[in-house]
Amino acid sequence: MLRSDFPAQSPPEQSVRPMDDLVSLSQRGDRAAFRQLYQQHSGRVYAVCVRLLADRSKAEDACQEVFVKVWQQLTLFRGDSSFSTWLHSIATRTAIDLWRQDKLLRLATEEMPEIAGEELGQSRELEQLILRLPHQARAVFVLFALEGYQHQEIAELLGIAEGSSKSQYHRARQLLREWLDEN
Amino acid sequence: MKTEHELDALIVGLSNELKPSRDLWPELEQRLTDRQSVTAEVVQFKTSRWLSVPFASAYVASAASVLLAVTLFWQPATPVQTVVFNPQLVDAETAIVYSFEQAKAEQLASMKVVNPAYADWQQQLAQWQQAIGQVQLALKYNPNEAVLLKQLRQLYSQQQNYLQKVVQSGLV
Repeated sequence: MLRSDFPAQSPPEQSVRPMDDLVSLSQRGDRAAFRQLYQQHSGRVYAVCVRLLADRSKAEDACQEVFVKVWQQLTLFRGDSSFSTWLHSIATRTAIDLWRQDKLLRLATEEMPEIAGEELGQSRELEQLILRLPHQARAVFVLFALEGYQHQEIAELLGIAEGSSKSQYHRARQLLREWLDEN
Repeated sequence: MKTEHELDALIVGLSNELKPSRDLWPELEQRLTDRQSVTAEVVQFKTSRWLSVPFASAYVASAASVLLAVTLFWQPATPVQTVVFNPQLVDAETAIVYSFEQAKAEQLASMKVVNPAYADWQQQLAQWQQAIGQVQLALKYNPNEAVLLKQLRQLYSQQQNYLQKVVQSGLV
């Protein structure tokens, strides 16, 4: 599970500041510090957005939206949880909100997702196949297998029954196994 | 069919970070509102009685004298620096164009051989560029119009997707 595993990569050109310092500076309106937070976390945020939305343009919009929300709500962050956990919770909820809107639009268009290979990292094949999964099965798979949510939590987040979450997850795995064999 | 174990092994191998195809920061920074200015507005609202007519002329006079003094006596303390791209100083359209053009330049630089199936890629690119130009023209009349900015992003994104296919066709 990746949910608790939230590594922070430091940008190569800038001096490394402790995360707490960056958060505290950003809370005081320091954009340079916030940029460093963005650089450290954008990869993780973008990953959940692109996997849920299966569309580069929408994922980029969503990623920006997440950091705008974080900037706006940063003064409310009290440090009860780690910054990473707090940020990731905003990211997941924002991506799910957009996923819900997307669900309605996709009924009309049913386009195949289009993501460039380089963005998808080393496990390109599996990443592409995840993007091909049916809308709900993909969301459940991403949240359960990659983000570490439990079926009960997923059911609440997506507004579906817990049983549906489980069955969609098994459907996703079944499809992925089949497709991996075809390739 | 792959076994459950094999699939689990592949899932574990997935990266928990993916890199966007372009730098999103310039556009993002455009959207960050200044929290201090919001606070200032609230303070200003609370003290608005001091902005009544009797005080207004005094304020204007003070501001004018400060401005005059600054204009007469201010000189740059340091030599003029090289102009660098600063998203805070540009509009949303420029930020979008900048980040996509930068990504496009990188894509073009990575292009080696082009598959014959994409022989007309330059014409295709030119068509997108023409459409982008039309939207930019419309933006001149309606600056910062959200729908037009979205269209601009979409056109650039389509062009980027196409270019990515062209680049990859040469790598196969």
